[in-house]
Order: sequence, then structure tokens, then C-alpha cells
Amino acid sequence: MEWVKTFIAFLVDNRAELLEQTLEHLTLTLVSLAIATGLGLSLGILISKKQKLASPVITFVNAIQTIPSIALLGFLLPLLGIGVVPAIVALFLYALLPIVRNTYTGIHEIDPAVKESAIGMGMNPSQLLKKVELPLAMPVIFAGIRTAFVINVGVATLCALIAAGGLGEFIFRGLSTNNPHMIMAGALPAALMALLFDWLMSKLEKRINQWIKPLLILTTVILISVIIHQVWPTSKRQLKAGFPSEFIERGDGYRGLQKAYNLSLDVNEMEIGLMYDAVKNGDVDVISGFSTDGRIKAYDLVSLIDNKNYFPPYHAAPIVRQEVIEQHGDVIESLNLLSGLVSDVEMAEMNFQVDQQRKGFEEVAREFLSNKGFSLVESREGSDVIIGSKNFTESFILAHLFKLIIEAHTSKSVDLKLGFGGTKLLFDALNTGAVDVYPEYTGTGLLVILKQSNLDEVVYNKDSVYQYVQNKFNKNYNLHWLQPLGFNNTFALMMRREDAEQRGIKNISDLNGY
Amino acid sequence: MLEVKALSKQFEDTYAVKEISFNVPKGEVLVLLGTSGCGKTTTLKMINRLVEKTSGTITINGRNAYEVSPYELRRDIGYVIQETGLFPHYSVAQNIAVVPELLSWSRLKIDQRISELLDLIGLGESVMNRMPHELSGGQQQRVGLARALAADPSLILLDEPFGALDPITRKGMQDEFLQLEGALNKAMVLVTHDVNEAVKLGNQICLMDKGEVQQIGKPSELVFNPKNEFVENFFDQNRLELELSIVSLADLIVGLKPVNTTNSSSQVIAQTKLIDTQWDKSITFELDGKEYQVDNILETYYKNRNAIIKASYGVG
Repeated sequence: MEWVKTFIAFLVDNRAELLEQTLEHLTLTLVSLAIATGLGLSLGILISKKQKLASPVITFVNAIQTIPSIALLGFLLPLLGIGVVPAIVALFLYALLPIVRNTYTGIHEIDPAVKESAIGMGMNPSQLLKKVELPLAMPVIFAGIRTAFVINVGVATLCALIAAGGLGEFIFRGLSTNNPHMIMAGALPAALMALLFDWLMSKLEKRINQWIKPLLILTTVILISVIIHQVWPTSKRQLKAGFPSEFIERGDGYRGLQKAYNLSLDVNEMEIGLMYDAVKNGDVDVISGFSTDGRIKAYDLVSLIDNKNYFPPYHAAPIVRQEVIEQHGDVIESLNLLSGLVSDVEMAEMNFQVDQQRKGFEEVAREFLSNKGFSLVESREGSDVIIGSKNFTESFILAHLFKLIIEAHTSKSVDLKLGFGGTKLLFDALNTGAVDVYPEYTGTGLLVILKQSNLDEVVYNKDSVYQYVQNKFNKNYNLHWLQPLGFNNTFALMMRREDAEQRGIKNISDLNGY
Repeated sequence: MLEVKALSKQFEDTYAVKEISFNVPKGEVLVLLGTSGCGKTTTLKMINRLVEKTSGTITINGRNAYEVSPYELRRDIGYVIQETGLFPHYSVAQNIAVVPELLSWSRLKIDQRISELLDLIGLGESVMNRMPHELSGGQQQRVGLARALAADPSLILLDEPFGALDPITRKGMQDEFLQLEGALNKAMVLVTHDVNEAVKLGNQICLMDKGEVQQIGKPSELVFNPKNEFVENFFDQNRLELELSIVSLADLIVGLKPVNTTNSSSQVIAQTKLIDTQWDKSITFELDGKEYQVDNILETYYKNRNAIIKASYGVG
């Protein structure tokens, strides 16, 4: 009951955003469905008349359906960029199969005697289609449209990753910050939407003849208004920002930043890996990057100066469970060999090698350690120690560094579990014992895990933050921070260098004017 | 009314139908008879151009069937098929109204026609708003027939119309059809593989095999005077039953020749006065002032079959 109460309170608090996301979600789903219905119906009718085309067309739309939705969004990126348009295209492609296939099947499976008598009585092809084939195939076609809608409501949540909005924003933010209320606030309206539409369609199916005209007019109006909305973008003056869901929601993320600097940016939520390309291509103007990211150099970006000292320091260090310290003393010793070993520049260089030079994570980690004079060994099979990582380049590289140094200095075998979708997920995995060690940042420990909201209590320098999280983790979770690796990978707002210079923006507070 | 001349259908090298010709006058039924694959259905479908002919001519009411578009042509021809082909999403009334609506009749005229037809086929207006699946097989076939008659076409094509019905319903429908036939005064072409049905319903039978006509003529001609072995064999299985359905009482009396007369059978019939007919036992009749009694008709026919056939149909 308590849970329901707090959930309802959450919904009330966030009602404006909930409404906005629901409308975005509905628009994405309905617009793509309308296009898919128009095209799918025509295609289905065409292949039911030209049997030779049926097999290739069905195979083609089938093939689209087999592409995982995330991958499909990925394929569309280089062609259509990010935002609403590629999202609608992807959703449209997904909705196509059930509609084409059901239209074809519905028409194809009409009793041949009925068709024969219709033709025998003198119906021409269009009369046959309108009076006999479509009405008789209608239940099957409707089933296809309903399936397509349900699929689209689900896939549309993923469109939040490419800055198309929708209820996926709540879901992904909830996942990355482990906020069940927020996940539910995204999932529940989506499920209700699917059920409601299904119910409406079942009513509509019985009265299709009366409703078809008003429905067509309504659809056209919506389509045109969406297109107009796309063609005339909102105020040119406002800067567009692209942030990953975790940054928007976490304590040291956009919400706090917005207050501290009094910013008003047009925020687009998107997948962390897309952010850099989005700013490079001009889809957005500002992103929230990491100061050691290799792409800052590669894409000629500039970090804005945090002139109000908003972001805490983020020194990376391995965190481990108490049991690991007790069982594998040698592992801890070997990990401490990395203490202070990696500088900001060296970390950025490693990231650059992976992101831009397409080198493997292990290769980069191995080269780095070799250059530092460590003698390394071949990988061993087994899983005495399990190392986790988050879902971005630097975390992957650090996990490999840990693995290599442990294997070189102990006889233990190491297993990697890489790419956890959010800090909370990985932290929980560490707590439950699914992971023994992972690289974490002091600032993240402070703000995301300890949810230290009263920031004044902690003085923002390297040692004080480290001491603070070390103590608190020990006391609260029985976890230990090992020695920091050396570099500080702080959050930073970034822009294209040229753009920033043109607008005369150097500090974060300069964004205020936009 | 319907004239078919040298009509052929060729699929690559083989003929499905080869040079078939026949005439069907108004008020008569021509039966296309044969085993499956003999080309009878193909012949029927060439008449309303569901199958395009390879060569030959089709003339309906003096007009070449290829002068008009196939859609217009078909709206002027009634078409009844075995599976009825009723539209499952239309009520009985809507089904009957299909062709009149294609021809853009007025609503009033269509409604009048629907009640007229429902009356004709003996279903009554109570079924008007029912859906086809709510009707029995026989009722569905009646609605199918009413639909074919809706726009009052002068030619009706029937493809095994009673084939899917149970034997009792089928016999009832055939009897009704016989009565309708006379009342409607239309030219009809009916396809069947059932010899009994062919003999019972046809004014002419066109027996086909492998796409070619084996014999065309009145039922009695095919039964009693087969042109070739195929025709003879075709009717042999049900011979006695078929003969009895053709031979009339007059034939029997003339064939038995109870009096020495040179009169023709029609004259004999005119002079004959029936006294008592108990078909399963005996018949009693008076001729030239004398009373005759024939016991056990079946046996008597069988004993005197040759004489009877020879007297009435000129062959033995």
C-alpha cells in the first residue's frame, strides 16, 4: 500500500512530464501506424493480386522484422540522424509486417466460391475488392493493425534512446538510477495505451463503414500537423542539448546543474553512445561528456568551464566486497599496483584509441600496461574473480586493466561481466555477489549511490570526497574503495569548438543567454 | 437464344474443349454431362467468359458475347454454383440484391424484386434479414438461385447446383426446379455428372468426354439410341431406372399392343381410357371398348422392353 501511495505521489509530482511523454509516445505510435496501415494495406492488396510478388515482398518485410529494434535504430542513424523522423521510420518498418501479411492472408483465404460467384455476377476488380474482398478480410486485417500497434507501443519506448521522446524516457531514467516509480510511470501508461487502443479497435471494427471517412480525415490532419511541426523547428535561439538518461536524473546531473546555473536548454534524451555523434553532426549543440573521452579530441569539441564548481571530482578506483578482501588478498595487492598509474591524458588517449582507432579494449589495456613496464601473461579460463563494468568505453578499458594486472600477479582466473546498463544495476550486482570488483568514480559514489544531497557537507577536493565515500561505503554496505587510479573523469558540458567560439561561450554560465 | 458454335479451349497443346456446338432455345434446359475433367465446366465458364475461349463463337439473344465487356455480359447472365458462393457478410436480401445494385436499379424496384423472388423460391420474407450461415443447405441453394434470377436474365448457367445437397433435399430441389423451369421461360445450361439428374432435368443432354461431344440430343435419344459405345456404357449402370423415368404410360400401352392397330402412339393414347392405376401393382385401362389389366408393371416392361422401345423410339 505504501508503495502505491508513493507511486501515486510520484505521478502527481511529475504529471506535466508524464502527460508530455505520453502524448509524444502516442504521436510516435499513431503516426507510424497510420503510415504503415496505408502502405501495408496497399502492398497487401497488390501482392494478393500479383501472386508472383507475394513471396519476395513477405520475405522482405519479414527480414525487417527480424532486425533487433535497437539495431534498426542504429542502421537508420547515419541516414536520418536522431529525433522523431528516424523513430517514426523505424516504427513504421516494424508495423509493416503484420499489416501486409494479414491483408494478404485475409484476402487470399476468402472462399474461392465466393470470389467466383462475385466475378460471375459481373463485378469488376474494384467492386470485387470493395464489396467482397476487403469486407471479408477485415477481421484479419484489423488483427494485423492491432498487433502492429502493440508492437509499436513497445518499440517506441526504445526511441527515447535517439532523442525522439516518449515514455521510454521515464523507463530508461528509472533503470539507470534504479527508481522503480519512474520505471513504472513509463511502463504503466504504455501498457494502458496498448489495451485501450485494442479495445477501441474492437469497437471500430464493427462500425468500420461509418467511421472510415472521419478517421481518414483525422489521420490526414494529424499527419500534416506532425510534418509541419518537424519542418518548422521551435525557436532557433534555444540551444539543443543531448543528454543520456542517467545524467538527466542523477543528483549531480542536469536537474542540479539547471538550478545552479539557471539554464533553460531544449533537452533531448538519447543513448550515451549517440551523444558525441549528435553534437558533431549538429543534431544538438551541447552534450554532457566525460572529460577523459577520446572523442573530445577527435571531434574537435570544447569542454565548458565549470565556473561555479558544480561537478564534484570523479576519481576512478576499484570497489570490492569485504569477502573478496578476505579470500583474495593477492588480488587486492595486484589491483593496488594501479594506484595513481593513469593520468587524465593517458586515459583520454586510451579512450581515443578504442573509439576512434577501433582498437580492442584488451589490446589497448595490454599496450598501456606493457609500456608501464609490467610483464603480462596470457588469459586464463575460469572465474575465481568476477569483474564488472558499466556500459561505456572507459569502464570497459578499466575492467580489462584490472583483469590483466590480476592475472599477471596472481594465479587467479578472472571473468568479465561487462556493460551493465546503469550505476545502480552494477552496484546491486556487487552487493549480491554477482560481481566481485568494478571500477567506480568517487563523485558517482557520493551522489548516485549515497544520494548525498547536502553537498556543502563535503568539500570538493580529491581526498575529502575519497575519504567520505570510503567511510560511508564501509559502514553502510561493507564495501571498500581501493586506491584511486589517478585520473579525474569529471562530467563536462561540451560543444563544437567552432560553434562555441562563434557564440562566445567559454563557461557554463555563458549558456544562460540562450 | 443461346448459340454456341465450334467453341474450343486450348491449353498449350491440349484441348480442354474441342469444337463444341449447341443451341439452347428459350424455355429449355441443356445439360452438359460427363465425368470430371471432361470439359463440361470449362464449356460453361466460356459462356460467361470466366474462361476465355480459344476459338468459336457464342451468341446470346443474337448478340456476340465478345461485343460487350465481360462485366456487362455477366450481369445479364444468371450464375449458380455448387458451393452457392453466397456472400457470408451479406444478408439474404443483400445477396439477392447484388446484381440489381450493380445495374443501379432503384431501391424500390430492388425491394419489390426481392420479395417477389423469395416468394417464387418458397422461402418467404421471414428469411430476408438472415445471414447465409443461418440457413440450411437447401435454403442456401434456393437463395443462390434467387440471386441468379434477380435481374431477370434470359440465360442462366448452373454448375452442379444440387451437387452438395443430401439425396432427399436434392430430389426435392430437382422437382421444384422442374416446375420453375416451365414458369421461368429462360434458356438454361446445367452442368452435372449425375445421369439421373441429367435425364430428369434436361430437354437436351450434351454428353462430353475428353473435351469432345460424344452425343447431343434428347434424353431418350441418348438412352435408347446411343451413338457409340461410350454413350451406351455411360448410361448402362442406371439403365433400368433411367428408362423407366423416360418411358411413359402411353409408350407402355403402345408397346404392349393389346389391340391390332396401326395407329400412332398419340392416337392410341387418345383412345385409351384409364380405369385404375395402382403403379406399384397393376393398371387397368379401356381401349376400343375392351378392358385390359397389366399386372406387375416392372416385370411386364422388362419382358416387353424391346417392343416398347421399338414402338415409341424406333430402335431396339
